[in-house]
Order: sequence, then structure tokens, then C-alpha cells
Amino acid sequence: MNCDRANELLMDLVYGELSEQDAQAVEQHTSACEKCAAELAELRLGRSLLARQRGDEPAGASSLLVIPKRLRWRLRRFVASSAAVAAAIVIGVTVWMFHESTIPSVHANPGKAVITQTGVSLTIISRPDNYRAPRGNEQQSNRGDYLMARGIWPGLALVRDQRLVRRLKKGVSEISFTGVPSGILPDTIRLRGVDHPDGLSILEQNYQYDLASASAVLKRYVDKQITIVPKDGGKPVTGVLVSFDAQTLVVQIADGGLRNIDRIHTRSIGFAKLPSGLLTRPTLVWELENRAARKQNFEVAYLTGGLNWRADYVLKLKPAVKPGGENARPGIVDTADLVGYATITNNSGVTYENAQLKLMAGDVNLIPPEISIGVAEYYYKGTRFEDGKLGGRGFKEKSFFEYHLYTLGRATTIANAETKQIELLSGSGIKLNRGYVYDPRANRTAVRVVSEFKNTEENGLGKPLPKGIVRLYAPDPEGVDSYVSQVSIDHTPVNEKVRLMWGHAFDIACSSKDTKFSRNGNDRHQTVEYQIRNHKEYDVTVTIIAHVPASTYKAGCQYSWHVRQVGMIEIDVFVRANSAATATLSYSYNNTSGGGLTSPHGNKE
Amino acid sequence: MAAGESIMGGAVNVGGTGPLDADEMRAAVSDTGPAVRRFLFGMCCDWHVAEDLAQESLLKAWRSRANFNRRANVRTWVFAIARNAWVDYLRRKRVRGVEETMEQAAATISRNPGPFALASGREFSVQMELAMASLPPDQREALAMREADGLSFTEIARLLELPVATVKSRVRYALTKLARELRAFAPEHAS
Repeated sequence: MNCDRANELLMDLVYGELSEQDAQAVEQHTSACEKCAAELAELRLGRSLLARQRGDEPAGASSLLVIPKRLRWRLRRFVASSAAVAAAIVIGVTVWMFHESTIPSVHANPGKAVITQTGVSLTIISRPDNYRAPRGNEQQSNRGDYLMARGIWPGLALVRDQRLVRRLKKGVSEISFTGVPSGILPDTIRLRGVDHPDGLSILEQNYQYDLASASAVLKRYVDKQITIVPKDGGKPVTGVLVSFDAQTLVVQIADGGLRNIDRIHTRSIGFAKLPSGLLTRPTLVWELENRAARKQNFEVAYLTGGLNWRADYVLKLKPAVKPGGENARPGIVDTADLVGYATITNNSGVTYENAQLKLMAGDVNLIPPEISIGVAEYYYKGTRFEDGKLGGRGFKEKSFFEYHLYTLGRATTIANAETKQIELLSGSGIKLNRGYVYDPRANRTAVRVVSEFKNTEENGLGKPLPKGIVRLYAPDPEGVDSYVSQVSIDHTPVNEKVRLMWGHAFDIACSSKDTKFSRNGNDRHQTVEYQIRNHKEYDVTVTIIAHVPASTYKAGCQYSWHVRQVGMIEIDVFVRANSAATATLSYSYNNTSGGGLTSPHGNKE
Repeated sequence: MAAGESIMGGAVNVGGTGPLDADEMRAAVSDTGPAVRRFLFGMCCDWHVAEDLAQESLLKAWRSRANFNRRANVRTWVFAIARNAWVDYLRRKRVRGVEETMEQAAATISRNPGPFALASGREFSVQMELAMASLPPDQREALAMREADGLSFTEIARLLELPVATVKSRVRYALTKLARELRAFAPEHAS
């Protein structure tokens, strides 16, 4: 057999596709021919490397027992369609599993722990009011700290991540968890064994975030050879990297010259290989001593930045059908439906699949840039991982210490770089009092529209409202709901009043002027005229806010009025459709002996 | 390795006409499981993904068993389904990939080793995956198929609609490249 013929058959030999006779012939040739022998050795090495890689293959049966969720769902749907066929599939899968488990796993590494994620629970905390950018120039170890130091609310969430570790050796071993967000606050990481906490001691805990970023890789290549490709298409430069910063690379060229290379003019930098020890994603590594079982459930809890939520409300207004008339005297009452959504953003760098989701509303006290461990521990105790206790589709609200906790009744997947909206709460048939307020100090010519409602159960709501933005939709003349306005509300407990300022009324114009002033010793007398012109098709009541000196002792007006607080009088003016009204307010004040003005008919609520 | 036996072996693709009965089909499809899974692992270097896709492929094969004609054998047919499943998976991943953050996109090392390599933290797996990722796709596919230990060169050639020699040379290039890049991990070097 000559080289050409042997070479043709090498692949068949390597993969055992040759007859015994041919195989012998080829082997005979290679034992004599060095060149072919080298080729054969190379091919066999390639195969052995691949076999070694597969050696990490998870022991057949154990990993195949887990049918992926997606498939489980499909299977279920399938079961519904035909029980017999489904049974056949289950048998099929079982046969496969059996088949797999009977293959002796030659390459299996018995010392290697196998880690699978079994559940994850997220408690996302709303942006606290008292959040301030921290001062000082602390070293920032990760993105979460970095954003906090910049005064940007990075989001904050408590994550409970449950993982099953199989084949855990007795004695000291190392386990590492990936799928850890880059915004993790390393001080807050806690690991515990769920099944046998006593049989386990944690010797050491490391958070490795030396990610393979450009500069981390460069750092590893100092004193090593790199290849720089210039932007102008010139010849690539190969040399030993001496040092680098953000602008320049200092490279020792092969011929001995030292060169500064501007990074702006560099298209790419070539490295031989990814240096060892660098991770491409953050990893948690524990060294622990195991005295109990080989199979253990672990729970890691930590706080992380990058997860944020806020409440968004949609208020669908059904304006009073026939506003005005005599009914307008107490005010216009609209009805509305309110739907609150939780808008969740995930920039943590990790996707949380099938997570239990809890949202916490309230102002959390933070000690930036790090959150005190005490606070973190408190959350750990206060939020539990709920095993199979979830139910329903929407959020359930519970109060927790000084906060409110909304728990989603089903698992949800929150992908990285995703914004997700889930309904938080809803109320219908809410009665809103519509009012018009004229405050010349705020705006001399326009009237503000204000809606007020009570957050009570009788009023169709009665749920704590987390701080957020309310968007108002009202039907346009064609009856289509159109976006009208948006306002923000604060955290509002049950039984409190919610006040929504919508902006200015188009059809109501106002003006005010001082008409008379006189003084008599220390007594001063002043008259102000407020004119309100209603161009609407219905009657309205406008509340005028008149600012008077604190030393006012006497006031008078042809419309009913009352003292809101010292120095502030409210006058309710009823204005017919398409007409105008003028309110004249006269008051007297005395800077030496004045004050003590009271409402003529008692105070209004 | 007695690969030839497992390729041609089994009462799967010999004799008979018309569709296989349910028992035969079930046995045939589930027999393909390990090989299909190994093929997919060769494509993605991640056992979890491989497992998912393999199960998906087997299910698909089982459900569309009526479409199976005896011109191909069951293994080749299931492999073709698995290959499609892989392409679909890549497509899904690409759509999702749009949402990658800028940081991820800008990372200099774009070929991230999969979770397995990272979990084991072993240099070898990482290097292996990087080397696999650097293979041209057609070479990698041919290699993964042959290494899956389910199809012969002839069957792969039929499946990919290529001459047998082309398949062989693809696998050969791939093997040689891996061997050269990872020579440092060869047993004689380790000792």
C-alpha cells in the first residue's frame, strides 16, 4: 500500500469503518511511514480530545429525568389530546432514559459536582424617596456600586437562588455558581444548605468578577505577545505588550524597538488565547466542608442592583354624563376604572427563569453605597421562598413591616434587558370629585383641574397604592379612550385621599385685580376682584384661593368662603354655563393687632 | 470503538415496506436519542441545550412518524430533524440576541464558553469550546455528526447531499485543527 492510498483510508480507519483486512494494511503502512503515522496520530488525538470533552457528559439518566419545562407543557397539551399517544411517548422517553443509563459512562468524572438550578425568587424594592447619591470616592467593585456612586438609582432586589448540587464529595470541596448578576452586592451574599445545614460548613466564599473585559484581558497580556491591526489597513504589528492605558499601548517590537501605539488608530488587538483564570461571567465560588449527603439543596441569597420596578396606573375616566345644573353645586362627580401595572426592568445581566416575583413598595432605608448587612438580613428573614404555595394569576398584597409586599401568584421569566408589565391591582366604579381651582399665585389666567377620590373599599378601591405615575384616559367625542394627562402619586395607604392635578381647564378663563386700598392708622383695607368666565356647556364651581396677610382680622365676599389656613381663603364660586361671575373679596388687616380671621360658617372639610 | 456495528446495527432500517408500526418506531426513535444528543452537544457544547433540543427532535420525529418513508433510515431521518431543530434554535437565539446589552456586544471575546465549561472551571473545556467555535460551520457540523456515533460517512453524505469525500475531508480538517490547537492537552504532554 502506498501513501496516497493509505491517506485516503485514514479517516475510515480512525472511525472504524474499514474492514479488518484494510485496517491491517493501513496500520502496516503507517508503522513504516512516518508522515502517515504522524497524520494518523493527529487525527486520533483530535478524537480523544473530543471524547475527553464529552467526558463531562452529565450521567445519562439523572439529567434526562428532567424534562424541560417547555416540553412538559407540550407533553401536557399532548396528554390532553390523546392519552394513548402520550403514554407511548412517556414509554419512549423512559426507554431512552433506560438506554442512556445502561451506557457505562467511561469518561464520567466522579468527583465533579453537578449543579442545577431548582428555583429562584426575586423581591424587587421600589426606589426609595430618601435615596441620595453617596459622597466620597469609594472604590467601586461592580456595576451596582458604580451606579449608586453616580447617584443613579440602580434598582435593588433580593434574590434567592436555589440550586441542587449532586455528587457533592464528603470533606472539603469547591462549588461555583454562575448565572450571577454583575450588579451583585458581594457583602450581602449568604449561602446555606437547605436540607442539612448542620452537616455543612462554609470555609470560604469568593465572588469572582474579573470578567474578560478588554482591559482585564490586556492586563493579563502584559509581557506577552500581542498583534495589533492598525485602522488604516497598514501592516499588523506584533510585539510584546509592555504597558497600556486607555489611550496608548506600549509595545516592544520583535526587532527591539519600543513603540507607543495610539489606541484610537487601532482596529483590533489579537491575543493568542483567552488567558486562564478570567471568567466570562461573574461566578460565586465557595469552599465548603460537607459532612452530610452527596446531594444537597443550597440556597444563595444576595442583594443585587439592576432590578427595578415602579407602578404605572391607567385611569379610565367616565365623565359625569350630565355635569352641571343644580348638581354642580356640590361639585362634579366622575367615575373611573383604575388599573395599576408593575413595570419591571431587568438590567442585572442575568435572566431569571420561572422566578417567584415579589415587589416591595415603601421607602427602604439605605446606607449607601453599601446596604447595611443588618438591613439585608432583615429582608432575608422577612421574605420567604414559598414552595408551591403560590396560586392565582395576579399579585397578592401583604404588608411586611413598614412596607407592602406584592407577590405574584405564578412564576414568571424576567429576561435580561427586558421591561415587563404585570397587572398589580385594579379598581372599578371609583367616584372622583372633579374640582376647578384658581390660584392667582400659581397661574394668573388659568384654572387647574383637580380630581380627588378616597382610597376606600366602598369607593371601589381600598388597596395600598405604591408610588407611581397615573395616566388619565377619557373618551373623546367619538367615544374612543384617548390619553389626556399624567400625574404622579405618592405611596398612598388605604382610606387616604388621592389628589390628582390634571393641568389646566381650556374653557375657563380667569383674571384678578386689586381694586381698592385704603389705610387708617395701622388698619389697612383692601379689595380684590376675581373674574371667572365659563365657556363650557355646563355649570361649574371654581374654588378661588386667595392669599391674604396673616394679620387679616376681617373679610367679606358675596360668595361663600372659608379660611383654609392662616393667610389663605378659599372662595367657592358657582358659574353658569357660558357666563361669567365676579367675586369681590374685601379684607382688613393690621400688622400690630391683626390676625385671628375665622370662617363665617365654620371650616369646610 | 466498534462504531460500525452501532451504525448498521438494530432492526431499524432493514426489510419491510410501508410505515413502521408504533413499537418499531418508538424503539427506533428512542435508540437515536443518545447519538442525537451527542451531535447537538457537538454543535453547542452545552449538555442542557443539547438535551432540550434532542428531546424536542425525538418528539417531533415521533409525532411526524407518518411522514417517514423508508428511503432513508430512521437514524438519518431523526438526525435531519435534529439538524433543523438546531437551526431553529440558532434563529430563536439570534432574535433574542438583539437584546444583548452594549457591554456584552462590545466584549472582545465574543465566543463565550458555555455554562458547563464555566461550571467545571476547567481550562481544557474552555479551550476546547473556543476551538470548536472557531471551526467553520460546515466542518463543525460534519464533525459533530460523525462524532455522535450514529451515522457513517455515507449516511452523513446522503443527509447533507454531499459527496462522501467532501464529508470526510471536512471531518479531517476539523480533527486536525483541534489536535493542533489543543496539543498542549494531549496525554503525553500532560505526563
